[in-house]
Amino acid sequence: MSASTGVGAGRMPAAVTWVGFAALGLLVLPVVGLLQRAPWSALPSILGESEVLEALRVSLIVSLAATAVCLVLGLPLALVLARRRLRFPRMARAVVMLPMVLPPVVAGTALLFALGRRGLVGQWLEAWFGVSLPFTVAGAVVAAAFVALPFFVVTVEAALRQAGDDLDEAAATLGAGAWATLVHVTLPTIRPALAAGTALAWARALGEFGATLTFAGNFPGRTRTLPLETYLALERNPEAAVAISLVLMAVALAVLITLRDRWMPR
Amino acid sequence: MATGSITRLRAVAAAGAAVSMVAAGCATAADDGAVVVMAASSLTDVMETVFEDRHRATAVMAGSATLVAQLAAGAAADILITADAATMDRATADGSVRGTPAVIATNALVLAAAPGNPGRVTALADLARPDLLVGLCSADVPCGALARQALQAAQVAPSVDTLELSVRALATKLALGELDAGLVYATDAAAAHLGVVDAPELDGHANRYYIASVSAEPAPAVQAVIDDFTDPGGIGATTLQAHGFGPP
Repeated sequence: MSASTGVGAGRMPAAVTWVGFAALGLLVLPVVGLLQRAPWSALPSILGESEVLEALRVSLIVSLAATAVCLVLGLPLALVLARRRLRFPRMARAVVMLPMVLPPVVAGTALLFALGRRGLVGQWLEAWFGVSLPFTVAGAVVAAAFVALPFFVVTVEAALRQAGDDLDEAAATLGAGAWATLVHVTLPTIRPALAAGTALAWARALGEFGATLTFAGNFPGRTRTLPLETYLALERNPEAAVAISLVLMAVALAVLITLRDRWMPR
Repeated sequence: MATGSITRLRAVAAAGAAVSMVAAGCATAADDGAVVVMAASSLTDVMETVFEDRHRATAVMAGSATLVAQLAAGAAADILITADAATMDRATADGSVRGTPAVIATNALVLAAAPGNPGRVTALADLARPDLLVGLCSADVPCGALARQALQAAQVAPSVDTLELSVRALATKLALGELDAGLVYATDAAAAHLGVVDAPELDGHANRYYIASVSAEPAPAVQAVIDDFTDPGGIGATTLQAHGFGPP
């Protein structure tokens, strides 16, 4: 962790500072573009529309459920990657990061091939349990969790490696069991990373579009999330699309800033 | 761009061409003199065939609504072809298209079933069966607006599972067997090798494709391309029919 000002700044080439600020500008500029086109006076009426509220409800349910899936599956995966001696560690890590680089529409198609009604595993889910994921809320959760999981795993695994396992071994020497060590020693050590990973995964799940559309389809009140509603609005009424995007950004910023203040070291 | 080649340009590229064209004062929108045709994405295969060796032309393919928005934003093109009347009306109303639109083809709505018809779909009324996975196009895209009209006229209240954002996406999900039935264009059903179920209620429900010159006085090379689509014996008209489109 570096201090916020002073230390080392004098030794940094000026060019680096300038490029750094330019990069910040690149990130901020599109947001400013959106803000200056925002229909501020019409905002309450647009956001009060039943379709928008319904999409917000679907988005919150789907993104929170997907985040829960990321926690339940991602934490064990991060522990395995960081602590177990794997035969192909680089391969395992590359596979974990694949959903990050896969175009989401391709991810959705891949999910159809795997978990669709005629898919590799999906056909058995249908035959044995009568479960069919595509075009359901559960399908939207699976799509969002698939693309969000790497963000959680990569963040938590990095923290686990950085923390090392000295404390864990000390706890074990003092007689703590495997579960007690995990819950009372390992997890508290990486609490900031757990919060950061959860926030990142949730933000990615909230903004998910392509995989959801491809795997879960688009139906109001069931699988039409805010990003899908935004895309539809873009063709029909661009002002409404801008308004909905503002809500998405505001919700995400609020959560990320709150988390940063409360949980992460400054 | 090579003669007769098809390139999928982005709006940005088209806008860039607009600037250079004004500077050079060419007769066509592209700075190399090629005719720029903006055409609805359902015509992709048709455009590839027509422009293979016939014309010095560049085709820009996208959804009709997107193309009209790009034209209004100043994208450079010589010819606009849309998949329905509503989008062409918008382009003529805002002045981005000054030529007179003409109908060049129709595309009929058909009841399509997944390969092997696992849902045993036999009539339009089956779309109301809750045990089937049914897909339609979203009402925001032309095929969805058309489907909504046809179902209302036939008094069928469909049990819909998904409203797809493009007819191609809907046809793909039917072809994969993830959906049991849906309403798509005849050309998309043919391209995706879908089974078509007889539905007399759908007769007369078809979209009209319109062509128009962007300029009120098109250059001879631009007019030649338009003629190829409006003359019944032209290569444009015959290629449209070969791909399953109906006559105007």
